[in-house]
Amino acid sequence: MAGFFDKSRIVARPGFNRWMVPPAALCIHLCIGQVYAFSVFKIPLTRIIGVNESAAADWDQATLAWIFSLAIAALGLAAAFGGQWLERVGPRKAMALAAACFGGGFIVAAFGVWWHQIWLIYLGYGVIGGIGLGIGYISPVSTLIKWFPDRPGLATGMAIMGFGGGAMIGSPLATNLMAFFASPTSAGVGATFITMGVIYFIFMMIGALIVRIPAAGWQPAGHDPDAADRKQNKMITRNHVHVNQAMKTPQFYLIWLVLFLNVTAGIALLEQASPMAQEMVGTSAAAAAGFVGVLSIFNMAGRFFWASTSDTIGRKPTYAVFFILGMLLYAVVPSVAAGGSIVLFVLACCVIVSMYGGGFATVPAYLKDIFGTMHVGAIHGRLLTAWAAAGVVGPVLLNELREGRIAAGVPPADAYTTTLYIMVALLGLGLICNLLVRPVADKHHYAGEINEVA
Amino acid sequence: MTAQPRSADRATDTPNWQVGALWALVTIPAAWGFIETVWKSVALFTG
Repeated sequence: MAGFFDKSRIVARPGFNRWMVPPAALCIHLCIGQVYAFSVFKIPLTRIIGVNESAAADWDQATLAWIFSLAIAALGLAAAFGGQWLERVGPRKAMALAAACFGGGFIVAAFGVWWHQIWLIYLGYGVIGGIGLGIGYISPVSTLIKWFPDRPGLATGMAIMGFGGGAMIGSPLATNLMAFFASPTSAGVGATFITMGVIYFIFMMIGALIVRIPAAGWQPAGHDPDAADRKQNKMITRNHVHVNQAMKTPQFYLIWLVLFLNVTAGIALLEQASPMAQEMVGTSAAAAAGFVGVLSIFNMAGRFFWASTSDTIGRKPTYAVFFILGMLLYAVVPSVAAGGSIVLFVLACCVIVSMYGGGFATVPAYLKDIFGTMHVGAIHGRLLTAWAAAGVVGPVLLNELREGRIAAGVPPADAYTTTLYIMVALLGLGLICNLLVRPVADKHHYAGEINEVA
Repeated sequence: MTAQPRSADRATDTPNWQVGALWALVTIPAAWGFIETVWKSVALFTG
């Protein structure tokens, strides 16, 4: 007898409204996106013992920085290695595991706060929570693509926009909860972790309970996958590629590089947005903080806008726009900053960041077009290693180059220029990789029974 | 981009209130977070 979480129990009955599935996915992504707001805990976690100010025995920033790094590393590993399991067991079990890990991770971390044991926070929020992040991130993707074969970019764009929006909920939620639980003897972090763990677990479980997968062979009415225009479009396959076979194709590595280079360029800007605004166009620190907030809105909005647009203009042209427009904008930012135009500087940065978010949101549909729907979730999971790699390379590249220029005697405001021009070169490389993406050779196509493995 | 209802989305028997309630569940907290972020960012940016 099939268990409640089994894949066979969540096959949608005829007449099920597919628009129930995106909010189920958003229940997951709006929660796990909280990871981007983890910085709100940074200062309070340095005052667990001292409460009003850091005591000698309190944790320092360097110790705490490992929490976020561990969470992102665990995200990448879980997404890379959990994808095939997800495809086998279906989205409900995967979402429930993600809920248990992400919510449970907060609760384990709360004990780390109360007992002042940093390893418990590393284990809880970092490792266990990070596994929840990785499984949660990829769990709704292939389901959404199967429900929306006519608009896969729109569907996955909505979910991945939720990941960007999760920080916008997580940040004020944590701030308000810490203010509520704070007392003369506590910063309120432990109780906040427990509360957020419970809230996120419940919210994510709602998504797990609602999600459904379409019956075998289901197609939305009016959508013909064999329509003449789709047959003519060689960049949208009607075949399927097994995840292990996908790893043997040049297309996987080209798209990996496309994502890596797009994310590297975007992350380098995001990482340095605040000092760049202050040093290049002379804004105040407070205005620079506001600028970072504005960028986060464009990061989120770009996920929906660009992924939806890709349904109309195609995935490859969408990435071509990212790279060409990105090169132009990175190239003009130094001149705009030198001219003192804050508005143009902000506009250019906002468009760049929107394309950074758009790159994340469009890639599942790109993978679906190239490798088919059978293992798109698992392939997406493995591709996310590009994100982890870019997360390391982007900021390091920008910081090292900038410090090297300053050491060579270049004024701080001008030190960004070389870095931005290097980003232009990286985006040019990304454009070439994108242009090289071609349909997968027939020998890689899966020849078995799709329904047994899908 | 305008999302026009398609035949695939009309031929369902899921009650509209269920779809609406589910969308409200995710939209309300997202809207709250969005407004908070916009408010604070604009306030900071404009000084």
